[in-house]
Amino acid sequence: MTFVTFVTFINQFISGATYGLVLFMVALGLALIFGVMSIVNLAHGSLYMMGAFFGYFIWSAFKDMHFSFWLSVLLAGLAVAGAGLILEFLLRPFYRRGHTDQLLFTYAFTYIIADLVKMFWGGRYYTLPRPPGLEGSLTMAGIMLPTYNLFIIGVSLLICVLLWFLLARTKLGKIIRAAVFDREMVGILGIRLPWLFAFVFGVGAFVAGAAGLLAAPMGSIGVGMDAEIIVPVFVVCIIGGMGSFLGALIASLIVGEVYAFGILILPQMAMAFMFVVVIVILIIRPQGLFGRS
Amino acid sequence: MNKNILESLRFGARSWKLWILLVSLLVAVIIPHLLPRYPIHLLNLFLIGCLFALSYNILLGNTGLLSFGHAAYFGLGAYGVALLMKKAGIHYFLAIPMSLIITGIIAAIIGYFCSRVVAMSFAILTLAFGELLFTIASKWYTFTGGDDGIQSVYPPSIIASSARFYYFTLIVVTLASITIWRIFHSPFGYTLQCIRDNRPKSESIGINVRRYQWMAFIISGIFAGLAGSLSVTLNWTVAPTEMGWVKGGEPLVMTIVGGQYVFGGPIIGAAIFTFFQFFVGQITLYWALVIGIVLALVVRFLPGGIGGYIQERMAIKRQTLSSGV
Amino acid sequence: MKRYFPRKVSVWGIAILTSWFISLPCTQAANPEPVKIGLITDLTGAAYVNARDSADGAKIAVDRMNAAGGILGRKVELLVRDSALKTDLGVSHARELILDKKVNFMMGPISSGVRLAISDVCLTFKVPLIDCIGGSVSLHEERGHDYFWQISVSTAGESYGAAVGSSRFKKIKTLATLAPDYVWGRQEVEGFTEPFKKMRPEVKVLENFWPKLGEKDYTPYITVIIAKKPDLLYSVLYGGDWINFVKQAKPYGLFEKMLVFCFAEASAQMALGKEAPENTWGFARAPAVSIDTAEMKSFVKEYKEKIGRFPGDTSVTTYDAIYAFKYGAEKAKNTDGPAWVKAMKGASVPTLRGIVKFRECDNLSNSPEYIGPMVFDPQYGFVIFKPAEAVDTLPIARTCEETMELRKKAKK
Repeated sequence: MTFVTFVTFINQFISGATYGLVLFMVALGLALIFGVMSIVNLAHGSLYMMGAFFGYFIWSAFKDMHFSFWLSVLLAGLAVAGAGLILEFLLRPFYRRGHTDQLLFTYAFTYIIADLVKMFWGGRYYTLPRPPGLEGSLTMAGIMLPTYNLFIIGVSLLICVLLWFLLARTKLGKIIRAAVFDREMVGILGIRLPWLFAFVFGVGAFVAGAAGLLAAPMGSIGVGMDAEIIVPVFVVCIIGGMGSFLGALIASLIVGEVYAFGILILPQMAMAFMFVVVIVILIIRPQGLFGRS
Repeated sequence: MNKNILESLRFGARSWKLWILLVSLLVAVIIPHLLPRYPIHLLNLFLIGCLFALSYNILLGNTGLLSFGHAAYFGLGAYGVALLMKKAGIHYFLAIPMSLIITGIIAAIIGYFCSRVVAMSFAILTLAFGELLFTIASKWYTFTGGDDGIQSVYPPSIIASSARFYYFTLIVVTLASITIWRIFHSPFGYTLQCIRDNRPKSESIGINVRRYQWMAFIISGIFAGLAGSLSVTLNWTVAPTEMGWVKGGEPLVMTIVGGQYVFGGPIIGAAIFTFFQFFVGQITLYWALVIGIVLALVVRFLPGGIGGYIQERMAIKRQTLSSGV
Repeated sequence: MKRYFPRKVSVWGIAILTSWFISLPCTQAANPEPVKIGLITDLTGAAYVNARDSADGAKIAVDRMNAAGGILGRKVELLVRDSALKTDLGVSHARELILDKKVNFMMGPISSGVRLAISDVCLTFKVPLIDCIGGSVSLHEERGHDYFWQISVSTAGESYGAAVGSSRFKKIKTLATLAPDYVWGRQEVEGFTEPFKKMRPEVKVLENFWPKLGEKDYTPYITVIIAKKPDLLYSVLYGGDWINFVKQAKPYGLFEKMLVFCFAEASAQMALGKEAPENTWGFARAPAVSIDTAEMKSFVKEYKEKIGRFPGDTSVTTYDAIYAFKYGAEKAKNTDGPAWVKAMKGASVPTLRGIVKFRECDNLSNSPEYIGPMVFDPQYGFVIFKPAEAVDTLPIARTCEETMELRKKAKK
């Protein structure tokens, strides 16, 4: 391609990090659900899409209020968490059944959710402006960096830190870590697993839905968002090792940057680079970077 | 006296399957003379869907491997025939086996990598390769026509008429299905089922699991390619969308809804899917919603698919018949 | 038994649904009386917005037509099918509509590829197909035939219009192009660069950018474009891609640094609303709200009332196509394919965009391409052409001899 200067490099790096960390927020929910409940949720991308759509309509209702965007993120996240709880309830009979069945059932739900969204809201592109205060760009050392991208990076790292805090320092976190390690034992020790599972699924759905709305100002909202996000998210989880949070973080940064720099090298095959990475990693280390074999 | 009735019942029970087969074969042969052209087109689609789904079931039902990228081989078969016919002027009947060889080679390469992993990684890896092939087909427009694909791929005049093309498809699909049936019921097929049921145990008794999975992958890919070769001369065209993961969802839905553990399952699934796609499409725009609900119901309540359900009911009937007296 | 209950219900449910669906075509007896028009369009997938517009425009046309007595005194029936950007679905639906439902006329999908496949089917069964979207030149050149009619603008015509418009800016010394990397995008850039170079040979083409269709991240392109400093950026991004590009480019101030001449199809503009950039010039095939004729205004009004949003470009061209069917049928006093084709050869047809004439050899219309500065209009809430200028696109089309040569070569 054309000349790659330091400016371009930094821009690409930030852009790749932004995309990667959005993937991380969605992958987080997936990893959490898989780690604690051993459930594979192919419909997680659909939850992301629902968050964007719900968020858009909540936002347009409150447009003139202060902090309308942040309120929408919160409410959208909660709405999607609710949808997630419904999905979790429907998935209960699948705890015992293999991952194949879970993949199939959630795959069916991607069809259902996508068509429902299309039925209610499809037919237009929706766009959301960046929230006030984050519209422009920061100029650092002569390089223009869009403020909103920096914000997204900040928020996802914040979520990361909060998660770490939750898992490492709180009692609930301890229970979750124990459940990842040995679910049955946790049940025997008297923790009510159904509540734990519902909570975990709800949190995962909340983060995915919030991510959907948070990412929306950088692009557009439309049907097809679910398919676009779920494949990279799964790739991230597989590369990082299913169920590993650290793995998801590192893998999402890898995927984001590979994609961003792939665009510089060979734009039409940028997606393909990501697949090449997956293939290579799965061959060298089939359980992913941090997965358990 | 009772024993005699029982014996004749049991004899009858075994041969009724044969009767169904003979009758449906007879119907299949007469039908193009009874129906107008569009339903014949649907029947062709159904037959191709059967072959596609049966090929998929070699991996899913028989070996227990869930693939999301199976359409890639369907597409390879179709593109192979289209390119050989249009660019090299090769006759259709020769282009098909050549295209299958190419499909087989590519399936072998991809399968080599995919057979080294299992379950979810396998699913995602097959998806990744499928999307890779899709991207190549879309971008290489000087060779593959890019997004527009390749048009005007007509079948040779000897099978150009509606009825004749149908017979050709019927013969090819029937022969292929019989071959797949023989594979399922061969030592190779039983070994695959062994691997499906209990991988660690299979390894411990000395089965080279990877090797068998690899071979299943190749065979499955070749039959999918055969389905693709039929599809390209039915539609007179092929485009990259026939290789993507959206198309890859079709054999999955067909096999699961129809039943992955019964040989006839994918056939039932192909019938349901084909009819749903066209009749539902006429009534509502939201046919994906309907298919999603059906799939969800089947996965939840009918783990063996409709075929499995029917088989269970028959087994119960047989039991009550033989134990009641 | 309890265990079997939900399973029994599921099986019976599926069986009943299936048999209901199969029986439906029988209960809807085919009535030979109404004139049937088939529209196959991509209602599922990335092009659904344009497809929706197309279907809605068709509906308005059919309703109006029926209120005024239909075609030759017969009611008009519109049958819509979803090809979902898939050629096999498109072909199957085409066969269904032609063989089973016996449609008299056909209109095609957004995807040029699917349209090419359907064109084959229409030729075989002698059903006129009007291209109401506009697309790849292959459709009317090497793959053209008597039953294919182009009432919109091809890629060549469209990019020619943009070249005419942008070449007028005398201050331009350098330019760059930005187009999605697939057949349509490539044709648009080719169709722009060639005539532009002829009109302004001194202008340098700095770079051609080819993001993939559906690209989410335009930042690498944006930074390099700005670094290269072209005076003019010719952009063919549309729909969601254009929206993404605008949102990502604005913080970098791209639109202040160069003149952007962009594809201005309405749906993206409507979605962007106030966020659309200022100082851009646009080109489009049928910008409904920007065309100032009485017919167009009445169409826009009715569309907004009945559908609830403003029409897109494809709404207009699909509407025009349906009225073209009516024109030909009434001229031939017949709805038969061959008769319609004969009557329409070289005909001039009234459309919302004025009178449009079909060229006799290849059925290519002289539909104009519209260009103009994009200005925000508070009445609509999005940017529109102020004013919209119509550029004749026929000068750039291949001559009849060239087209026939291409067709001959393609048949070999």
